[in-house]
Amino acid sequence: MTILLFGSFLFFLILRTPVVFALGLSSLAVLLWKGDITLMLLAQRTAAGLDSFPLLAVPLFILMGEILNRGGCGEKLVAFSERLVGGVTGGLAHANILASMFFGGISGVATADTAAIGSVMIPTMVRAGYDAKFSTVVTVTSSIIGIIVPPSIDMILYGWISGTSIAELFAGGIIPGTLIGLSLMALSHWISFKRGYRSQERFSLRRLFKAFLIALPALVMPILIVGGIFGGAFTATEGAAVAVVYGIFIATFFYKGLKFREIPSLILQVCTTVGGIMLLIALCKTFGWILTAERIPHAISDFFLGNLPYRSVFLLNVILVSLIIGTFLTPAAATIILTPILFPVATSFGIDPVHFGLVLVCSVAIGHVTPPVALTLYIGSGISGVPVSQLLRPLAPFLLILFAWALIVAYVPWFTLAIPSLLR
Amino acid sequence: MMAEKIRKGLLYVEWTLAGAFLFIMTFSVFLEVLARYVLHLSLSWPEEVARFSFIWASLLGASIAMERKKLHDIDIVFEHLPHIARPFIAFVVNLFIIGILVVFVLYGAKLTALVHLQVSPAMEIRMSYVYSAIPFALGLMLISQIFETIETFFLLPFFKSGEESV
Repeated sequence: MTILLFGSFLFFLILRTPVVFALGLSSLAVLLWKGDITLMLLAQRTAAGLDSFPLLAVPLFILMGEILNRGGCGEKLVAFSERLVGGVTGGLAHANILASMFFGGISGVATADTAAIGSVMIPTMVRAGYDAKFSTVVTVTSSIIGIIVPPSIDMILYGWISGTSIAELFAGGIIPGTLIGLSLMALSHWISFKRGYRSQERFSLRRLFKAFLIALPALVMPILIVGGIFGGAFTATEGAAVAVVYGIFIATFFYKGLKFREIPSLILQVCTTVGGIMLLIALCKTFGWILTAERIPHAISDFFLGNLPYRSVFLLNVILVSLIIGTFLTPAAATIILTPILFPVATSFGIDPVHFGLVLVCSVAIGHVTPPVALTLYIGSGISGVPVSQLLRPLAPFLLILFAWALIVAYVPWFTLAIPSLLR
Repeated sequence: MMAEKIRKGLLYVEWTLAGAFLFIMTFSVFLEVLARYVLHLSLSWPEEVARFSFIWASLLGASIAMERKKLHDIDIVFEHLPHIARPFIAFVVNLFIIGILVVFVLYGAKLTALVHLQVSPAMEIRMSYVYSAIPFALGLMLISQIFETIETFFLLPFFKSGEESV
């Protein structure tokens, strides 16, 4: 049965069936094979899978990100980051990474981040004399920080599937997300120093202050939402709804970037993204039910406990599997499929659910920039015009840092659990 | 031409409805927060409105994603398959997708009929209004998938060579 489930899933994936339908068809194949279960289950679990208030945070955060993106928030954050760190060696590279960290706090979707920051930053960097490959690589690798720092769509999905507190997961992402950003900045600094990318603008407190004031409404937003969620003022879903209304307000009245006639295309974009993720969530319920009924996670944990009863070996396997699945699927899809398989095993090893969530989401996120198929690479290459094949060499040192972080997150739980333990 | 028009019309319907549900969803959650902090009222119905509009918006959104061909797939293996095999595979895969959509529409409709007498706890609306999102949205997906399959059918090699010989 396990072979039928995974075999048919793989078979359909290879034949270019959309991931959602590959998942649905393999679940259907198992249900038909068993024969003793009514297919009504499929429909019922689909509806039940979506009937959830915490899950509502996903479309709301996607909506908020899109509103702010079109409202011109990305440019304001880039301008502020440029004023802040533009004076250092490799200043624009630092500004790029910093803007990704700020914007990641707003959108929570890496591809949106790549597009929003990259479309402003890559041309600016190239004009200032930076190598186009280097600029693309910096943009692409830093955009995955958005998946790790709160609010993060993938953390919500993991939290919802595994029953882990979303507030604690959000809290857990703060330290790793920030440190990944800082280490990418350190590497860019070294490369910029070696290649002689000197800064062209002088630091000016007055201009910094001006840019800060303009970016302020966008900067306070993640602090507001995350603070509200941590403080218990509202749930993630409620926070997201408040953020959408706040976002509409600043995007139309303060930044004046969001035009009324753009709203239909904004809705189309949001519905497309949300629909793709949610259909997967809906079908994942049946998939998860089959996994449990077939005791597949149980079999995996039996295997590990019997043959390799080491937590570290299991975590290493989780990282590798997540990296591989993460290159092929979007982070959301990878999280939706991997969590029901791996989470029960992690529990049997006594791994903290928040810590495990961070390990899984970080690895999936890093998979999102691992060549040759990762989606963000193609988006970055689409903006800069540098073919993906030429990005591989400049990408290598950045990827090494990210891989190192996947290991650090997995083996030093302090990084992920220090802040969540304050909330407990 | 006709098919194109119908597909455009479908997308327009899905787009409008999904947008409306997205709007209702957002503002009912916002209203709930507002009522709690400003009016000190604990309302139970906004959460239910939000959840139900979320189901509708999600499934309609899925049909939009499908119509716009934005559902994620993996083409790395497919692109290395022999040219001659690709249209056949695409056609067969499309047939499979029709198959699963038919199952969903059929059993979704059965489920809707089954829960018709149940009412929701807070607003006391019929649950069939919520569950009918499955047969409705997936039915729309089925229609666009049928058009898609017919298109891929005419891309099969023997049709192409037939055109050339004429």
